[in-house]
Amino acid sequence: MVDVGIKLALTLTQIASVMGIVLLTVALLTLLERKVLGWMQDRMGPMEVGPYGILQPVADGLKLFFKEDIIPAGANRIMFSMAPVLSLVPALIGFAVIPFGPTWNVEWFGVEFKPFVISDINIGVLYILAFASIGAYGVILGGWSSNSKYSLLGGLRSAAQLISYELNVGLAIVGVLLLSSSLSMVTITEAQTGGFWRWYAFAPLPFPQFIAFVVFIIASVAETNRTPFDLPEAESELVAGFFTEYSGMRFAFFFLAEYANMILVSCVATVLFFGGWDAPLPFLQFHGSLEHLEWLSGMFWFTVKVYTFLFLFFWLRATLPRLRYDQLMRFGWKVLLPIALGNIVITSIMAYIFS
Amino acid sequence: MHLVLETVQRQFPETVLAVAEDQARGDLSVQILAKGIREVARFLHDDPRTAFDHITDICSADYPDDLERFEVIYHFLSLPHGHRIRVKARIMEDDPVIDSVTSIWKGADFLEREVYDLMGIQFEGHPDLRRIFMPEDYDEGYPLRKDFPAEGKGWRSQFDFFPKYDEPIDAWSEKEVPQDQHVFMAGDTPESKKRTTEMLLNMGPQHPSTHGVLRVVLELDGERVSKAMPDLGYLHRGVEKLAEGLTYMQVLPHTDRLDYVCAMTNNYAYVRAVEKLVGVTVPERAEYVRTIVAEVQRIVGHLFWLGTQALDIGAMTVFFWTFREREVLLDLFEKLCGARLTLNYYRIGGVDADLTPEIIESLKTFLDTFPEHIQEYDVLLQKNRIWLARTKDVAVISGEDAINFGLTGPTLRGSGVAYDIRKLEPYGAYDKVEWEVPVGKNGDTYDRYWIRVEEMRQSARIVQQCLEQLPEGPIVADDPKIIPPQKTNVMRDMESLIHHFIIFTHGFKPPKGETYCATEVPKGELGFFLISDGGPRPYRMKIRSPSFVHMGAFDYMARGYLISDIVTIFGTYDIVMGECDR
Amino acid sequence: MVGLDLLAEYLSKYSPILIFIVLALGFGLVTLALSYLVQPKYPEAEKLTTYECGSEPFSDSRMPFPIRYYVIAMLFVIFDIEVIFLYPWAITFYDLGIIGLIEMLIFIGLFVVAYVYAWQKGALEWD
Repeated sequence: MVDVGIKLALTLTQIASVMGIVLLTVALLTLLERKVLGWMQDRMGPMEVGPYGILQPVADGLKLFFKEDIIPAGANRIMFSMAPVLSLVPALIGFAVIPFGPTWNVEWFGVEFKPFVISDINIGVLYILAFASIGAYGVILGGWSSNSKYSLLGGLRSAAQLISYELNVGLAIVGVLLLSSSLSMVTITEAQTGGFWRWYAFAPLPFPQFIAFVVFIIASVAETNRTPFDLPEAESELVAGFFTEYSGMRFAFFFLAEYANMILVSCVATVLFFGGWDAPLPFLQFHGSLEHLEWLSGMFWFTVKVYTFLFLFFWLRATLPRLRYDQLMRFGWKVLLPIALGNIVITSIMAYIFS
Repeated sequence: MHLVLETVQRQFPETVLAVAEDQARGDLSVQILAKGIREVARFLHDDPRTAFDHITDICSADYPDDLERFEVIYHFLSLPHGHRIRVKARIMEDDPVIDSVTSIWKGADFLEREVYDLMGIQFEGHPDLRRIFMPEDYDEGYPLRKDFPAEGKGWRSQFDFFPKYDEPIDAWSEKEVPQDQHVFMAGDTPESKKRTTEMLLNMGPQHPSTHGVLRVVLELDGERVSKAMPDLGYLHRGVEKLAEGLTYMQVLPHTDRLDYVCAMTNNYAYVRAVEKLVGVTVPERAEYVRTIVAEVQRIVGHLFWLGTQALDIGAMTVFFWTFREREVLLDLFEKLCGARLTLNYYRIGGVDADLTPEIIESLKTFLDTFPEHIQEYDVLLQKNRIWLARTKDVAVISGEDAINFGLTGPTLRGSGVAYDIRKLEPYGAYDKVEWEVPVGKNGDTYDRYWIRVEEMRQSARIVQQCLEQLPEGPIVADDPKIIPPQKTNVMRDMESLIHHFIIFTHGFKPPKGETYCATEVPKGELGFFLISDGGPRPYRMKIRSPSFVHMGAFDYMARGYLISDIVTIFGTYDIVMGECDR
Repeated sequence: MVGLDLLAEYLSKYSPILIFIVLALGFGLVTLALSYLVQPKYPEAEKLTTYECGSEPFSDSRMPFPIRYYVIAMLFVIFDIEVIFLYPWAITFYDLGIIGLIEMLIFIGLFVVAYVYAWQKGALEWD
């Protein structure tokens, strides 16, 4: 029983810290995005709250927390209230299988546990894909239950967009699964350790998954409703799309979910294609006498990679206009899908030849 | 006599009552019998000798003392021959009906609705004759009639068609559709056994990208627009009515508020019309200064347009970059006349203040770096495949259709029609400098985008040359009866004081007459039609605003496109509601 | 005993996820509830109308409305299932050898045939 108690305590600590870090990162991202965009657009970004506006996320959060939540007349009250939660929860729990640092088995009062991954399940990739699909329900239900036409159109757009690009996400990662022979995020990371030439995006043999990575990242941008695929919430067309009617904390949840999803797909891209916590060059891993600090270096590299992807999201937003609906569908089905399929065929043949 | 007038008179000896050629102003006008309007219009449009293919404007005037009280005035333009004609027809008060010319010019649709709305003249054969600016159920009369008080009838709160805000919360389904919305619901699609209904969607007036308070009711089939019904008038202020109570000089600040992002060019259009009416010659330096300022304003307007169009399509950064350059120019305007937006800088007979060496210097510095900045926008847009996909083949309109709808400016030139008033009827210093009119090929949004960017380059070229050629001399014409004397002189000599006193208390009195004057503003052709009865105030002032005429083609251009494209079309017109609704 | 071990392993691996779900859900609901307690509530007829750009909505938005991509939705269901079939194959790729490769190439071939057919039929055109 003591075992179970300790185990539970450790797990709770892990979950709490992961959730805390994710939510803090979201807060940081809202500021970072505005600062990065400001920098790219020759302006300052938020400057009023705190020095250089660093307290802006706090102000935003408090404001939304204390704001009136309006449920419009004619809305389906239960669904309207639950949709934001349904959107947020899958975005958060996806982090359960992400290895943030090196695999490290710690014995603590006779209980073995891995500090940098909440649970190393052998179907990690499937788990993330499954919950990402559930997150789409929040968006669609939120749009439908508002009883506003703009929300409805946003919700419908999002339904079509999510299903079209989910297929591409699924196909893009088959190559990685094939090379690593595993669905576990930890195993996939470990298979890539030893420098950037072993990361699946670059590993020359049997076949570099760089094209698959490009497909994956494009589809992920679409999955997270970010520019240039932000049609469900296109502010110049649908005002705010599926969350037009939302205010206060419920609005904040959709916002949290979008940013948490951004972090999640960045983590997944890092793990699947960029070697997770592996340092790009072996000597950049703090080895030697400080063996016990290896995890620090792992987490550092993981963070660097994730933030690189997040920066890419911001960069895209500053650079690209928005696609139109038919173009979005055409791109997903007629461009990305054949590329992803071709990648699977070539990878499997090359893998067979070099095995 | 002018050949056109001769032809018309010979063709319709009975219908044509009188023809007149105003030699000084270069205006041709024909007075005809009201019942012959469609016949004459058809001839003017079809006959190759006349070929008035472009409808410029339809307006009306009210003469309460005359037996035939109303006059409907048509302005047509012949693009092949390059001349304009004014056709006038009188109708009686008890039977204010005249044939519609919508079957000849599609652009007449909105123009006739405006005349109906404001003057109460019925157009027989008009497909959809309803109020356009006033509320649908407005029954207080017709505002532009002379017996309608300029201050309006009653206060807003007294009208009971505005909803009261303390009504109880009623059940959603029981809510009745307000009266004015039935108009849109009584669609022309017959009740069929389709399992789905067309969705009616309000876009605007409170919408992020309707460029102000434009409202369009969209009939949607999925996301495709099967019909788009613009509902104008949310910013209708009755400028034309107001002008009837103001002296010619007092109207000037009101023109700032028409197209409020390009106030200078509105000023220019107005003062040119008044000068044409009065017959003032503007000194050469003033002409150059006017040209420079108008072209700088064109750059400002196009920068504003580029930023907002890109923002509508989702490219956020272009907006901030164009506003960065616009800021520099607005600062120059501030140095020039103290204001940044509503500038009120032009004066009848000249301009308000001279260009100082400091302003010229900063303008030159700006022009040196400006091509690089345009290059920056091009990097983001010109080769961006998403931008191309969003603008190519969107809102296509052919040259003939564009002319038939009366489109002007870049919107017309995008369809391959090289109509630019600055070339056709040169004014200012435009004929003294070298520049080109960019013309598109396909008539799509991309071509209109390209034209406006190219026009910025051309404008910069014009400004550059004007600055080099800038002659010395006075900046206001010397005509003490019309132009207020210098303030310093007013304090010194008696004569100036008297002129000053007369002009500012009575206003100057132009001769009896009427004239139409068109000016190329960033949006297209801004025309002022002035009727003077010899008094100090315009008897009737009609503003031919490009945005309003462009909105007439909106349904035609929007049908069959997606909701996303609707936003692009708003942008491609470069629409400003202050000017559209007046 | 093997079965029990497996069960224990599953429990130890999946219970953290279950706890995480409960915690995330709790976070969401508790935050909403707390916010509900402190926020002002002044409902008004005008405030509660659904947003339609400041005009009165023409109709309830829950109307039969053509969305035009049910074909794409069905294609997604079919293709997604095929993708799921690819996963077990990809993981056991090195064990299956040449037979697995050829089989899966045939499978992907069928997939491509269906895809080309859908493309030719215009099912991938959104509208």
